[in-house]
Amino acid sequence: MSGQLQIQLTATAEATYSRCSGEAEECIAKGDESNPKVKFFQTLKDALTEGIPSDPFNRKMALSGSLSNIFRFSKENLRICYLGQGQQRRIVVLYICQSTAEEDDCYAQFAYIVLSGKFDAAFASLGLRPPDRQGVFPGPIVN
Amino acid sequence: MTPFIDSAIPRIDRSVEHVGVSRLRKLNSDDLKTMETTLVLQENDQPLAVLLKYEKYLVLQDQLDTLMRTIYVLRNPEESAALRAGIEDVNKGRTKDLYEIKAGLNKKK
Repeated sequence: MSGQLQIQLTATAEATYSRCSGEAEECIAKGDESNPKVKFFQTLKDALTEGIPSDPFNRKMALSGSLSNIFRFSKENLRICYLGQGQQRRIVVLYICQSTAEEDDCYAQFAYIVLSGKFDAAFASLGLRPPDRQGVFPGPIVN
Repeated sequence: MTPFIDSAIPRIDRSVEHVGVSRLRKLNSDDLKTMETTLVLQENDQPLAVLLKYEKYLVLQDQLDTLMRTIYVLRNPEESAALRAGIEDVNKGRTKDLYEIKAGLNKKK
């Protein structure tokens, strides 16, 4: 794939970017360069200039189904979701967010949803037994 | 495919073969390299294991990861709200180039 990647930000993403930029600047002005806010903004800048442009349409970052043209970049405590199509060489950052906790174990979370009984009707419609609910999986991780 | 045909006729998946465990012993590396079907290995009609090509497994794994990522985003209140807000921004044309944003921030300094 060739050509420079055009990066646009939605108003939602721009608000976060500007806020993070301001917070980092403030810390630097106070001489507090090791503040996590400075590091976070640096990670964000690196993601937008190197991380994402190096392989923006990698399917390993894509969401599924009707959201498959949305990608989610994740590094350290930074999460960036963007909309993109390979042919246009353009991405639109939908949002930027900071994860305060370690990324939840999605498999455990999925197992929790299944074990909660929410999918029982779907299982029944497929002629499948509902799963065994005897403490095989860990409890939910609450954000 | 017409939906009523779908429900009226049982479908046979040609890409899956149900075989006895003894078939496993007969497989060599060439068979595994050229294997087109997924094998359900069974003993006395009881399915015991599934044998599929490595590449197929990776595809399944990637699909599962993609699904898990989607579930995570949609179940995380902060991310799903931000996702909706971001999509609404795109629909209403509220987007700006990154270099423009950077230039604006530099001007403020």
